[in-house]
Amino acid sequence: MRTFWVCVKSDFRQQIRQRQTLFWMMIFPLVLIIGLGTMLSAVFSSEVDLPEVDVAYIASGDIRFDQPLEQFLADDRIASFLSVRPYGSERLARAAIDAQKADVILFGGEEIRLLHERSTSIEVQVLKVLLDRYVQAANTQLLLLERNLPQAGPVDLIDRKSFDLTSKTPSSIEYFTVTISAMTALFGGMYVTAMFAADQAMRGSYLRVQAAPISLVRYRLAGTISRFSVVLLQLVVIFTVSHFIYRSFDLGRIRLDLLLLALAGLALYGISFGFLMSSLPFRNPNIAGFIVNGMTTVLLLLSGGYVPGLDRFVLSRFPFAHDLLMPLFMREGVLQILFDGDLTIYRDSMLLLTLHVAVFALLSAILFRWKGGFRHVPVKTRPHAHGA
Amino acid sequence: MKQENGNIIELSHLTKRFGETKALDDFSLSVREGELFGLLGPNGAGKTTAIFAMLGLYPIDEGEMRLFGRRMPEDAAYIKARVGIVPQQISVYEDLTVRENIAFFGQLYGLSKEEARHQADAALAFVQLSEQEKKFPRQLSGGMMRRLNIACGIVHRPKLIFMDEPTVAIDPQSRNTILENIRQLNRDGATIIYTSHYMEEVELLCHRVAIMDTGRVIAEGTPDELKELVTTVESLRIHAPRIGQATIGQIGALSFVQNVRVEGEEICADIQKGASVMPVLELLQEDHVAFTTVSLERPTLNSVFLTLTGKALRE
Repeated sequence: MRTFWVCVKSDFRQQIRQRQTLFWMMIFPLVLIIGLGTMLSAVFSSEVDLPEVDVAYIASGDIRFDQPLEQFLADDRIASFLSVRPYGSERLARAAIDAQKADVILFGGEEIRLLHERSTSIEVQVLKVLLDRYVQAANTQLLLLERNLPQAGPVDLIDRKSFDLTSKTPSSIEYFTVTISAMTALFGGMYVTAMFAADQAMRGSYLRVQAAPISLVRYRLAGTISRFSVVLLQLVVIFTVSHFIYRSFDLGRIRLDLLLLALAGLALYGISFGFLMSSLPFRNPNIAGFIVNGMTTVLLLLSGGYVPGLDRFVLSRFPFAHDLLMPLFMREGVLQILFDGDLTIYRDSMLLLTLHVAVFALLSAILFRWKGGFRHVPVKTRPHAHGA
Repeated sequence: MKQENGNIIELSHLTKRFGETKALDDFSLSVREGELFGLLGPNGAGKTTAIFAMLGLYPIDEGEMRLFGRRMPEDAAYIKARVGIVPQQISVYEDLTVRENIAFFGQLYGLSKEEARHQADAALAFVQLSEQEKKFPRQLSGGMMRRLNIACGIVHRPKLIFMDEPTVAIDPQSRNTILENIRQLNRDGATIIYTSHYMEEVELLCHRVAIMDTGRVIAEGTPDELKELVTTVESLRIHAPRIGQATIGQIGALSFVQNVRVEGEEICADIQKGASVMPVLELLQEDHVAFTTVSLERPTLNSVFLTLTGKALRE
């Protein structure tokens, strides 16, 4: 075990000393977040007409509950991305949904409910979170009132720290933050895979490792842990920087365990994808590298990673792309953690991710076997053939 | 631990195939403990395959390998812990310092952190790199890199060291330092298997030599024994610009001379090994032939190699 940690430590030390690694794993994503992110947020907030969420609102008829909610929804910052239209009944509201005049149905009253077919848009997610907070704040006030305790003063139902909507729309920044994480995880995975490919049998320092009394599985595992650490460190930095720059989500509300699980899953996806590509029958490793980079670019392009909004076009034409393009389904899943949202969507995303990883692993194994990669594993000797 | 017969390496009838090609073909070899043993052969002769097989890196198809009296690959962990390797290629990590590289490879062989630090000090001093311990490999000269390559292979004080052309592509001064290091390692008790393209190195360093070709050992012995094996003549060269055909004929008629030819202003004669050159010189004096230089070329390992394999070593 001591040797194992020696390998982890040594490998990690080497990774963080490489300028190229530092650039691609740390500086490049941060530059993207700060530079491109700021640029995009400006574009989104000033020039682009974002699709509004059309809310079919059904009042309960009880003024005690309806009035505060309607006041809340009339706030300029909310109204900038919500179009609230009152409907007299649920039947009429459903008809509006069917006629595509509304995206969601909001029921007022003592218990606020939001009905929607599928929460694919970030705006709906933001609305859900805002309503959750509204309900929490209202419940707190009611509780204080019931117990005859003094009110805590005016409650800002919109958490300014987390949802400062004055200079940004709610869609672009969260969208960008999560997409950049998916991108870096994918790039991180590529990077890890490339490092493994660099360990060529019988060559260089790896030859010494092969000749040493250490299990190669352990050595590989140590390298994996070391490089996963670099990838995770990178993602933690990205999320933290995103938070402090954009204030786009509240760190206190994030389920850190689930976030780390998602990040680990993303890194694993990148590694398995890289292994699959490196198992393809190309003699020239440069061709495999070219395909990996090309596939990554296409994947991110179609998912709107480079051109925000392209994902909506892709999904409108090819709805099945939602289950095929990792950045799309993972963005939805991770957003739920950032917004303290629906964990079912997170679980669905992770399930899809697991499925993808399993398929990649299976295909890699088949290709590896087909290429004869397992043939060199058994050691053959004939100790008695010469009367030894 | 060695075998009862004193051999630290005992290879019997090894065969290793790569597809249709036999890289090792009925390859057998014995090396005694404490020897500095040379392994010679042209490119593709099977030297590296043999070394990699002994290190447990290649599974062999047939035959038996015993190192330290233990069988490879069954006792690979035991054997590997006692073996060091100095590959031909510089095999160190670019992003670790000189000291970190040496200590890491020491720890890879089970040394504790403290032991690795202590042994790294010794290895650094041994290869005279103590002053460079904080530098990265890219900051070293070619000779220093070679010495670092050696230090990484010996830091755990192995009993058996494989050195694959450790002096390739370096300046003569660095080469001399490295050769002295190798001698010292051997004096300190390490058995060394040494491969090189430089015949003079092998001749100077090695107690015994095996010559390989097409996966087999075709000759084995001390350098002198090998020379005896193939050489029956020595080459006499005399610079005599005005020698006449008659004198050449008289030299050719001497009983110990096998062949006479003129090359420019020199007369070259193959004479029986050990024969005196005085009768030739007396003939020249009698015929009043002026001569300036006389040289007698003794056989070298190079000529032995050429004779045995029909190939120059670099082929």
